[in-house]
Amino acid sequence: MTYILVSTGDKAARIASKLPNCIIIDRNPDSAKRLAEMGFEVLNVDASNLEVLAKFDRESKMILADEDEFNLKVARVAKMLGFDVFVIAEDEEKCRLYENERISKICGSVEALLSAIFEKSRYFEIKVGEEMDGKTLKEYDAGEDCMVISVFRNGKVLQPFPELELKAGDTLALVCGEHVRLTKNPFDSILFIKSDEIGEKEIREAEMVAKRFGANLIVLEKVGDVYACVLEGQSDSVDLEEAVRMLKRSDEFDLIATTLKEKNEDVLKLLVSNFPTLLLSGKKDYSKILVLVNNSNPDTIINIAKAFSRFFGKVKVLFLDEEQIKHFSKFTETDLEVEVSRGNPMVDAVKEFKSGYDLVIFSLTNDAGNIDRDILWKIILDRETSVLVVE
Amino acid sequence: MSGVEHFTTIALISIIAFVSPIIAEKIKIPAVVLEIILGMVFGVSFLNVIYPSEWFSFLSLFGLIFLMFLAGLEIDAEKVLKSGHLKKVVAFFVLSLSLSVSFTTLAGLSLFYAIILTNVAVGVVVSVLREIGIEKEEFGQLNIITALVSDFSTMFLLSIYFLTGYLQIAFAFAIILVFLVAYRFGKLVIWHFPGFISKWFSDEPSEIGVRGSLAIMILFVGLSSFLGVETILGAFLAGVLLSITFRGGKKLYDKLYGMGFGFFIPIFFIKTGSELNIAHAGIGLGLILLLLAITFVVKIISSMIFVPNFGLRKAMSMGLLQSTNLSLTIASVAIGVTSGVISQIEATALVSFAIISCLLFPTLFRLLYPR
Repeated sequence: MTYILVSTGDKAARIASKLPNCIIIDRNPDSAKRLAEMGFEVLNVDASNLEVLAKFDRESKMILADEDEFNLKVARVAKMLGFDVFVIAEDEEKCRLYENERISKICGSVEALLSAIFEKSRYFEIKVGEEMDGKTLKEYDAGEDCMVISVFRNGKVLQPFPELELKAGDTLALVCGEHVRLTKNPFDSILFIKSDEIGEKEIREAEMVAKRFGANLIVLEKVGDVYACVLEGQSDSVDLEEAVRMLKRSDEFDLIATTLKEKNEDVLKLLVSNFPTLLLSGKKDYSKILVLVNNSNPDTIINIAKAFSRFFGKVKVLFLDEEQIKHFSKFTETDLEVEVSRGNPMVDAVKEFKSGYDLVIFSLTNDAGNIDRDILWKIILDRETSVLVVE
Repeated sequence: MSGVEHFTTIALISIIAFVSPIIAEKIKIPAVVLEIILGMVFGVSFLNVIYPSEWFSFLSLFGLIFLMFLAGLEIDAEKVLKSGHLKKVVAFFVLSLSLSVSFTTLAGLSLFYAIILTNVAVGVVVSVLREIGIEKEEFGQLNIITALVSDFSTMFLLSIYFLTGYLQIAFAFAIILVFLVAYRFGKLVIWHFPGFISKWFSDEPSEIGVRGSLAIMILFVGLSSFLGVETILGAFLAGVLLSITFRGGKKLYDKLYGMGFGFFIPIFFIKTGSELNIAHAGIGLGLILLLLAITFVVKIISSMIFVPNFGLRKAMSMGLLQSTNLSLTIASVAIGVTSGVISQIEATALVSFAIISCLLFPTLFRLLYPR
């Protein structure tokens, strides 16, 4: 496998050093010369020239890590010739332009790019430079696909936590891969179940969530008593249970957004057993988020808490059982305020909820903290707060 | 009673209450058993240096009320309802009760005995399971839930048993109605005033949680007394009310357990022991053996329900463990004597039976349980 890297300067060196059989195409003569002196295989040509790229084997992977404008020009040519193209976008605003060129492998960082290329988890070490000296770990952007798992300093291993102050010369150990991406942004496609009861405010809230997560929002509309199925071009109308099962089988959706006006255990159980379910209340934003860790196996709820903290800011996590303290170490670079109930878990949960939140996240399993089912339903049906229920 | 006698009684009770758990741990028997035995040694049976008095009776009665209150507090309704074996657990209790009624009737004993023989000492069951490290396993959990269901049901049946006349039955239902209303009210209070309720479970110096819990207990006991229903029902319902309304709160519960088991409850057991005449045990030896045989047979037969789940040996070992009787039997004896349902000889036989059962059956369980 050959990698053709269209890039320049230090960035090119950093990427090429991680890839076997890499040819760098650098349009800058000085930079190309320096890279050649460093021992890299370099061509000082214009990669947007069809004739230049046409000389390469079409099985090669094309990596574009130059300026976005130039990347886009090269991308058009590379796609025309049938190359598999990866891009590191400098500006997130330009992602849509890349999508228009039908390039789906768009990465935010070198680490994310490498994990996308290798399509599995990879371990990397990165030196902290002067520009990050004195900044906290939460200010370090490891990208969508990577997370810091350790920090090495003067022969010691430090456990990463959001407020850890970095020093120039520290080594950050990162793991990158699809599963990391899933924990950072678990929502690619959101299914919005629309019924007559849903108002404009709820629709705007669903759109807001989709926009924040960069997810597609697909609508399943209730017409009369049945749902128009959006899958596989089927036009038959089905009931909610069948629709949800079909959607689950399709493996396309990560989250359901809808409303629930009255207590209905069966419907909620049906939805939540298949997808995390967001019950909308018409919020414009989630500036205050509360996570009630009310299940004994809280990995899913912790991942969702981390994802919301990444996209919405401060999230308060309330552990309802002291046994759950062992999960503390799962919070690293994200901005979460973690607290453990020391008194009565149910009373503490209600007290916290009553202090006013835009979004409350909890588990329907409810096997930790002993929250009364009626109390959970009071929270679900509270019109002032949106609720995300996971299994 | 003279000042010296007062002092002797106070000193003895304090020392017995203090040393019993220490010695009991060394010789691996429940502390309650040792408190009763030491009560017997220093009571009318042998040394006769524990003298009856009003304050002693009051503290002992308060100990009994506390014991029932804490028994209610230990009821984990969530655990019972979520158990996958709930139907079989209920079947076990129903079969145990039916067999107990049949055998005691054949033996010419009253329904009071049938109810007592259906009871299980939850505390002993939990400590034995914990000792061999299986309390969290499915078999251990099933044993605990079965004991909880039996304890709750027999407690309730005993309260009903002591009712006399339709009016008292109506009053008992009135207390249950108050209990249900209080439960709904409690939930509303949690929802609307969580800040106030959270203080109950914090470390505030005013100990508002302990005061509130005791107020609920005393109110229910007072209501029972006012309506002429046995006070243990009120205390028990108060405990259940706290348990199912708040559904947890270790700190507060630990304080209440500390008050109960650290002071009031030992006094009740020591007094019970001190009033038993061991000479009566000899007279009632036949009754003691009969009760041991009935409870053994009843629980072994009932445990066969669990053979498909755990096999014959484990199911039989469960039957042995569930044959253990203790606190509720002792409490029932105290009430039974007061209300004239049983004689002093029967009372001694019943207490002796409870002591022997909680020494004998856990030992047999340890021998039979496959490890």
